[in-house]
Amino acid sequence: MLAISRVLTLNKLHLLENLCGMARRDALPPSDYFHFGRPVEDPPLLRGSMLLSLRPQFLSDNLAWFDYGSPVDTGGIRFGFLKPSDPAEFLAATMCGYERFSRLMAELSTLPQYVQEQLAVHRKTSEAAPVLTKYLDASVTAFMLDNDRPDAWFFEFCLRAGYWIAAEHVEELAIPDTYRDVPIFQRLRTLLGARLRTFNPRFGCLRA
Amino acid sequence: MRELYVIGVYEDFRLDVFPTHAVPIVAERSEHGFRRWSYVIDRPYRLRAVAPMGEFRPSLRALFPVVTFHLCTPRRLHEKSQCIVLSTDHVLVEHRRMAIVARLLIAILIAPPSLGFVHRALRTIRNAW
Repeated sequence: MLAISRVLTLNKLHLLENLCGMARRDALPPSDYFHFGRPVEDPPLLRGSMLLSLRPQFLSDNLAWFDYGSPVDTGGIRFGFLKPSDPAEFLAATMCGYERFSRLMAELSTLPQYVQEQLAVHRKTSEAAPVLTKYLDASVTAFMLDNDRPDAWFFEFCLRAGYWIAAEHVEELAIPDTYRDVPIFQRLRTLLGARLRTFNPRFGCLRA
Repeated sequence: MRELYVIGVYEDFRLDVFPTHAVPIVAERSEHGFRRWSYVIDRPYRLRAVAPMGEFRPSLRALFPVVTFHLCTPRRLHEKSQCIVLSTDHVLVEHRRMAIVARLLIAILIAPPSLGFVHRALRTIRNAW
C-alpha cells in the first residue's frame, strides 16, 4: 500500500507531542488531514518545514477516529483552487466513509507498480479508472480523469481529535538541522533513532 | 514583467528555533491585490516561479483560509533570495551571502546570551553558504 505523508509546521506541535507521549490528557489534538503518496512537488502546493512519512497501518489503527476520506483535495475545492461545476454537491460525492476509502486504497495498491508510482506522485493515470469507477461516484471519477492537477489525485483523509499516532507508525520524520537541539526534537531523536533525518532548511523539506 | 514578493514563510514559530532558514511564501502584487505563486527551489540554489495559485485577493491574510504561517512585510524576490528568520519580528530576505553572514554575526553579538541561538546562527551561516 502507498505510504502516508504530511507536511508539517510547528503549528502542528500537538502532533509531535502526541507522537512522543508529551500531549496533555486534557488537551486533545484537533482533527488533522493526511494523504497517501508523497507531498505534491510539481507544482509544489504544500509547503512547510518538516515532512512526516507514515506507514499504511496508521490508517487502520485509526478506524475509530476516521472522519472521511476523499480522492480529491477537499480544501482545494473549498478554497476555489479546484472548480467542479457544483462544489457543494461535488464535496458530498467525493467524501467517503472508512469502509469505502480503505477498500479503494487497498485495491489501488494491487495495481501494477508503475501505476502505483504515478499515484504516489499524484499524477493522473487512466489505468486506475476501473478501480475508481468501482468505488466512487461517476461525477468524481469523471472529474479526476479530466483533471491533470495533482490535488485532483490527492487521496486525503481526515482524522478526528484524539487520533492515535505512535513511533511505530513513523517511516521517517525529516526536520531542519537548526531544530535538532530543541528539546522536543531531542526526545523524538531518542524515540525514532535513524528515522529522524535532518536537512538544510534553505532548500525546504520537499527537496531535502 | 510580474513583480514577485516574499510575503512570509511557511512556518509558524511556536518554538524558539531562531535563527533558521525557512521557505518563503511567494506572491505577485498588482492593483488587484495579492496572488500566491508556486515555485521550485533548484540546486544550485535558485527560486524558480512556476505558476500562479488561485485568484487575486485584497490582502495578504485573505490569501489563506486559515493563517497558520508567518507573514511579514512584502519584500521583492530575487531568484537567489534566502529567507532567514531571526525572530518573530524579523525575517531577513537577502540574496547576498556576505550580507547574510554579516547580519547573523551582528545578531549573535546583540542577542541575549543563549548557547542555542549561537549554535543555530553558526549552523545557519553554514547552510546559507
